Amino acid sequence: MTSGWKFYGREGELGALVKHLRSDEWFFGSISGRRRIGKTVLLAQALQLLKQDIPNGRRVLLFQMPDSTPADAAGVFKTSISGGDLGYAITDARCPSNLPELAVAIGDLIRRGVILIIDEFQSCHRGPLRGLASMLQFQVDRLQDTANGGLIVMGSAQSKMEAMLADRRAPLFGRLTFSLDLEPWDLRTVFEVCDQHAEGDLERCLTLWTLFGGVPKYWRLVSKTDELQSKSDWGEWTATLCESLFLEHDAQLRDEGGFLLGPESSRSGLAVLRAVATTAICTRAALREALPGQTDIGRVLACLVRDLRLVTRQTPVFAREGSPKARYSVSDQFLCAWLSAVLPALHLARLGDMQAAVTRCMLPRLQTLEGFAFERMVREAIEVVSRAGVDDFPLTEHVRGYWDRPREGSLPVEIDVVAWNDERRRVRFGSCKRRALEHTKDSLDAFRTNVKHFLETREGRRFRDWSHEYAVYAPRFPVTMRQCLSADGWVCQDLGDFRELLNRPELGRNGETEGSRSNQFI
Amino acid sequence: MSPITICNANWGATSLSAIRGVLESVLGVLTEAFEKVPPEPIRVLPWFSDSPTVADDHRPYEVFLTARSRYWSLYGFEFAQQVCHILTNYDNCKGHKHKWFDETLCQVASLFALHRMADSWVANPPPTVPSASEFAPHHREYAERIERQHEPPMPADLPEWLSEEIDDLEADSADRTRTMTLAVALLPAFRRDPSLWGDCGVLNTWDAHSDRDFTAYLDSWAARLQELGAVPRTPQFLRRLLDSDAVGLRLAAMSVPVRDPGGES
Repeated sequence: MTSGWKFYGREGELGALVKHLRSDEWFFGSISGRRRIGKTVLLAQALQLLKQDIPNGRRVLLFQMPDSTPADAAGVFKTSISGGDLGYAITDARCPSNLPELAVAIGDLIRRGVILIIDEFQSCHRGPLRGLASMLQFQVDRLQDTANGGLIVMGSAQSKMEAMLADRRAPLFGRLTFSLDLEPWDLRTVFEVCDQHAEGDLERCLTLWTLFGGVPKYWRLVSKTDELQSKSDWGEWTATLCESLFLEHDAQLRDEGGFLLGPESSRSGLAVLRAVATTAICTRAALREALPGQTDIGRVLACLVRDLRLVTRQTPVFAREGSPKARYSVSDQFLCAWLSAVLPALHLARLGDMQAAVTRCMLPRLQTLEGFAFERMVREAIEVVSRAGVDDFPLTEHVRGYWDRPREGSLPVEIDVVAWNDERRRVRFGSCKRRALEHTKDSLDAFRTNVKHFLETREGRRFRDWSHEYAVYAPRFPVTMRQCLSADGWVCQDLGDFRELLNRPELGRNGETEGSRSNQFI
Repeated sequence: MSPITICNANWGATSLSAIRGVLESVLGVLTEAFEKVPPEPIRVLPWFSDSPTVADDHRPYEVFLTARSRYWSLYGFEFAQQVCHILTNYDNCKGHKHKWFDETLCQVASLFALHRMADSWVANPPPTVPSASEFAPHHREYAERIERQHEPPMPADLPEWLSEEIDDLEADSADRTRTMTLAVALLPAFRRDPSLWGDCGVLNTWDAHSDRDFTAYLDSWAARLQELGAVPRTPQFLRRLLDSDAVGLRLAAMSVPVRDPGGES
């Protein structure tokens, strides 16, 4: 790992945000995304850029909404104001001591040209602060023709943010002038960070992606872990990574999964989530088997998928909406790894057996997870490459998979990648393996048989007269193996190929980030 | 007061002042080479199509770039091409079949500007562009990468190459592969003798629709320069470079008599 962390990716979001900050018109924006996704860093970076364009420009105040009482929220607001030397801005308003006065003070402040950022805005969804959104509605409506002022609300609970801003019945519905929903980094950024902070080692890149997805804060923690620098062997490196970030008593991510789930997670929800994470991908039948006493699996799953978005429901390509073949997986990669690999190891580590926690518990589970994560990575890579227009296989639909168990006793059919282009009538079937050598002659024959079976099904029939391509994917292919597979007509792609394609040399070199990272708020 | 205005829009991870720094640097290189400044200010906007462009008949000029964030060489490449169109009076005489030459020349300008900036950013980096002097060599890398991708024929084979390609060039002036190949062939001369740019500032100031072939076009250009009291060095140079027996025969076979400098044909 090397030092020299900078702001990575998110160019579109940053450009959109700074455009609004530069504008002379009033704006009301929202920035949402999971904990640690980089909302505050994005804002700080935008303010840094703003300072280049308007050196003596905008006054910006960050107000971190406490999850407590109206009086406390008003108190924190007053402290923020005085800390930001903006006391003059509310002299003609009463110092707020309750929610209605807080809303008025917020309006007054913005009317004087201040850009106010309310962090942890999701705290206003329920509980003692729930009336603030309605009170802000009145202020927001009166601020429409204000110059040089703006309000940005930030929050990590997507569903709560949406309930206050995007729901038709919500008081602030239809008021937003912009909305940024921060997703994890895309793979192009992941590869860039890996090049700069993991020596470009794609095996380690896969491990880090399995553990952290594309969540910036976690990758930054890895870059600051000095102990990793001396580890050349993958096992030793991974063990050190797990110990120092998850298992040691002062490890920074030891309780991160618990924070992510929050205090509101129900017991039954946690049980289902843990069962889904343990198998990485599972069906409803497998869940019933894993949780024999739980009778409300359907209801809990629906809540996890639809309301909390903690679980993703996938169906085979072209399957009906209510297909019983649906599979479930934990949406957030970090949470999946934490529930499946970290939490069981933590129990052992707490008893003092760190060696067993790492080697017997965490590493084997992590390796299993990497297989599933690799499939996910390949599907995402194919889509990102297609969007960038840098591969010879432009997609017309999202990449999907296919699975089936034809009849009792026969082997299940599994196709990891089904990617197609309607206009060119080309379809590519792909098989993903965690290790290149697992693409044996037998597995390749079995894969072709699976594709043949698929093409005979109702779903696969539409591809029958199309041009068929067979692809194999692995993190890294040895040169000779690649030559042999290519000679046999297989499309052979590894993570190095995707990294190369996403490198976009036609754009040239990216220049240095502008300004240093410092606290940009008043 | 800078003649360049960068419109407030989503430019990605950069400030407007840094973009302006890069574009002013480009403009500086080309105004020095052409010995001419754009007659009107230039507004620069982001563009979401494949290639950059400058809008016809808009004053101030409206230049649309596809470059984003801090890809400074791409900004330089795209903007130089559009500034060259402005300095060669692109919308003064529209739609003639020799527009491929404008495109070629403006691609030469793009590569020329990048090479110049690779040098000038070391000695005199634009203050609003972070670490500009460290970035400078990447401009040359960028230009050389494009040059490698469009390797031109040997100088001796250039006339024949052009005689084979000229029909397609006239039919589609935006054929970037062909125009860039020719641009790479012309670049060394313009880098060696930047004063060749001076003659280009009068392009599109006569009715090029009446130039039935490229030879006539070069002659009209020379005549226009002579009218203005200048020695027509660039058209003569191009004629020497691109004309030969082979291309001459082909041009003769397909063209009407060449227009003389006095305007009689």
